[in-house]
Amino acid sequence: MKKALPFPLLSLALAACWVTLTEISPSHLALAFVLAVAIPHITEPFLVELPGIRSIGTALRLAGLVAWDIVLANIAVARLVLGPVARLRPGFVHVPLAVTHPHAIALFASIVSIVPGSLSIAFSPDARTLLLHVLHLEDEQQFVAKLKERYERPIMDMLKC
Amino acid sequence: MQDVIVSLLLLVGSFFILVGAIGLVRLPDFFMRLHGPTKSTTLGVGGMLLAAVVHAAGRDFSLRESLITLFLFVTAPVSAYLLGQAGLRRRIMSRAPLPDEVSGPGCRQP
Amino acid sequence: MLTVALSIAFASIALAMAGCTLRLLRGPDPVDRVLAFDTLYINTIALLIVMDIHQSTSLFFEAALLIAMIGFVATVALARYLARGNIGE
Repeated sequence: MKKALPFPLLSLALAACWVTLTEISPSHLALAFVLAVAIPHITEPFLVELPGIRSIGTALRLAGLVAWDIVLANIAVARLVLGPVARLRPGFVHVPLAVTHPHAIALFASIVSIVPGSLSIAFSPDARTLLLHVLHLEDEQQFVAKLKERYERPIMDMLKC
Repeated sequence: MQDVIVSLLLLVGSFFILVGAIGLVRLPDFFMRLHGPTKSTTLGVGGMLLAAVVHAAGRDFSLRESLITLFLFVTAPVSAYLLGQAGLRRRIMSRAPLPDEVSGPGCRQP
Repeated sequence: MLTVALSIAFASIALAMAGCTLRLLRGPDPVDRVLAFDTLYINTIALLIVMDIHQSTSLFFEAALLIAMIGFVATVALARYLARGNIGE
């Protein structure tokens, strides 16, 4: 016997999306419920079990930190892009990953990509190393250490994995 | 007051959209160009969508616009990753020396 | 105030789209063109949103959402094709 809601968080997010897209009325709520139950069942073969969330406070703090960094770092990148281009020193950087769960790795890679200055380009075949492209690289060691300390640690604290 | 906030957000959004496009035109190699659109432009559109939410707040409050922002912020790293993989596979010209061996889970052969 | 800001927004989006078109035409690699296309559709979303604000409707919202979704799928498909094309298969 399969569970009625194999992915409760996904179902909740789907229902919330549907209600936001349309309006709050009994018919739309019913439709949202149907979608929230049906879609996880249909897409189940593609989904990976979410690791449990250990601390919601850490998750919220991480979200705030990332939002703040996006704005700050975008201003820094704007200065780089508008300044003299010849002086930029781009580089590829290998980052050894401490997180192992697929969702945690995906989250870390996405955060690194969305925070300006670095982009995740590839993984090693065993998914233990992440390859980054950095727009302007000054100190590789320090850069990697900062990324890991700033984003990877909260992810590890926040998820049970 | 509402108009002032909307205007400010629009100006911020315009600035970052322009920065993204300038980066796309100006930067010398593909991997550097990848940075401009994925971040600056996404943030710029985010600012404009925020402006739309604030502007619509007077008529009927809805967070629909913020869904597009969320969608863009989730998809931007994915498309950047896939484009980067394509660039690596094609051994494209790059100012930074290309690493030798890479293969990612996003590129597994069927 | 708002009128001026809207004009500036329209102008900068138009300029940004011109820049993307330039990159789209110039290349040099197909990957660059796909990247330019990616930026172009995100700019289109911005344009539709500013139109929404300009006319105080939410008529263009659905169009913007659809462009966001279709554009993403297109970018993914093109990038996957380019990544695979070079290694045979």
